[in-house]
Amino acid sequence: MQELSTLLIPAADQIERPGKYLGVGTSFESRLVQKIKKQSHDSVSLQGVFVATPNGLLLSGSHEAIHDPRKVEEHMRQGLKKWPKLSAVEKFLSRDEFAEAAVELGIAEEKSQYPHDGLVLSSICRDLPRSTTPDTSPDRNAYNLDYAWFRKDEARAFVPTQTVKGSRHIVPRNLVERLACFHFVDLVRGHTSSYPKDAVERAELSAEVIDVKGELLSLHFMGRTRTSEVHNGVHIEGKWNAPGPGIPKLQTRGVDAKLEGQAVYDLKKERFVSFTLIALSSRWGGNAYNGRLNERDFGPAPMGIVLELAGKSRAEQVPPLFFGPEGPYRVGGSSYGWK
Amino acid sequence: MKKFVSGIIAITLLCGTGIVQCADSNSLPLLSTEHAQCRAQVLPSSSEQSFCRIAWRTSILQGIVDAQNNDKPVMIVLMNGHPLGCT
Repeated sequence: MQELSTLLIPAADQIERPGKYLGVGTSFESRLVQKIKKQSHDSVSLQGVFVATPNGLLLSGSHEAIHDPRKVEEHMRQGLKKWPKLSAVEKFLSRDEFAEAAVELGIAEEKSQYPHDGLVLSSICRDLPRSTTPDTSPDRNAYNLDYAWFRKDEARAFVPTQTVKGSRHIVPRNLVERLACFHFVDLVRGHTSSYPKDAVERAELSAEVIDVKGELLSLHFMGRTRTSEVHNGVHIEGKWNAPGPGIPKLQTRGVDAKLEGQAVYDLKKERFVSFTLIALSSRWGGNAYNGRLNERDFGPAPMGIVLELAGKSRAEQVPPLFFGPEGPYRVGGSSYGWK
Repeated sequence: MKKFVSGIIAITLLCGTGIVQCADSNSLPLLSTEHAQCRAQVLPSSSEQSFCRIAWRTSILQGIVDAQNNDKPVMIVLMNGHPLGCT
């Protein structure tokens, strides 16, 4: 199996993100994806797993494979079986096409807002046990992953100005609000909407210097956030549910999170060398996109979110979910430090 | 989605070398018991994170260019939301 995985180039991407619309776009990348998808004769969704040649000849693939690892393996084997039988013309982009692809890739990489000198955290969320009896329902152990980005100056704002043991510091509210609006949300089983600024009832986080060893500051974080929204009658897909059996007449959603964490900041290198922030929370509400509608699982129910320092690999440079069509970290006309 | 990817990887793509820095289980002495327990319950196990061991390209274009340069086919995973981020 290890050999199988190294015989092709694995690439994962989202169908739509700011400036990129693979399903309808006219970029080189979009046209290639549309070409591959067209050959699958599957109009259900652009989502799927496809093995193809660099010039877009579909070798094997389907939408259904995303739900079945055995189908993925079969597509890989089918694709690899066909590959050696193809001529170079059938497999590869022409010189001009490849040049166009390379130029487009270079432009895309230049546009990346990844904060190389800032703070990048992975944000992992999962339902917490609701009773002492193990829950064996299929999705009960699901988790999801997102990333939180902070520029260098924003990262420094988590650190007390006075760098002596016992110093305390209030982390600027806009940074904590940003966490509450975009990262302390129920993504356990899919997507949901971010919270608007006026849904933030609490956004408090303090840092205390616990120890100083040379240039290294050990910090302890404590805090609380609470977001709460009530359906105002305007239906928003992916946020509220249409009326129906088991849907509360007055829909609400929110997350109440008790925060604690610890970190080590290198004053000389001006960066965190470790960072953990845990949101022990109660969440309520839910919709079809985040999987709560099907089971009418509207809570309140316990959910944990853990933010930790991410690595530097390509896979960990994926932008935060809410670098969305409105713009990075923007919701309802409110901007949180990014353009 | 992570469950899906983990499932795929567990069955089909068992790679040996770590590409992504996965979460470790280092102790965090400053945390309260309830927050430390929450962290332990939330962070994925190594088997759940086995998809991290694949040298994923994070865009189709990057995959296509690398496939051409390496004389290999490309395997594309397309989702609403990034399959390596939030899906």
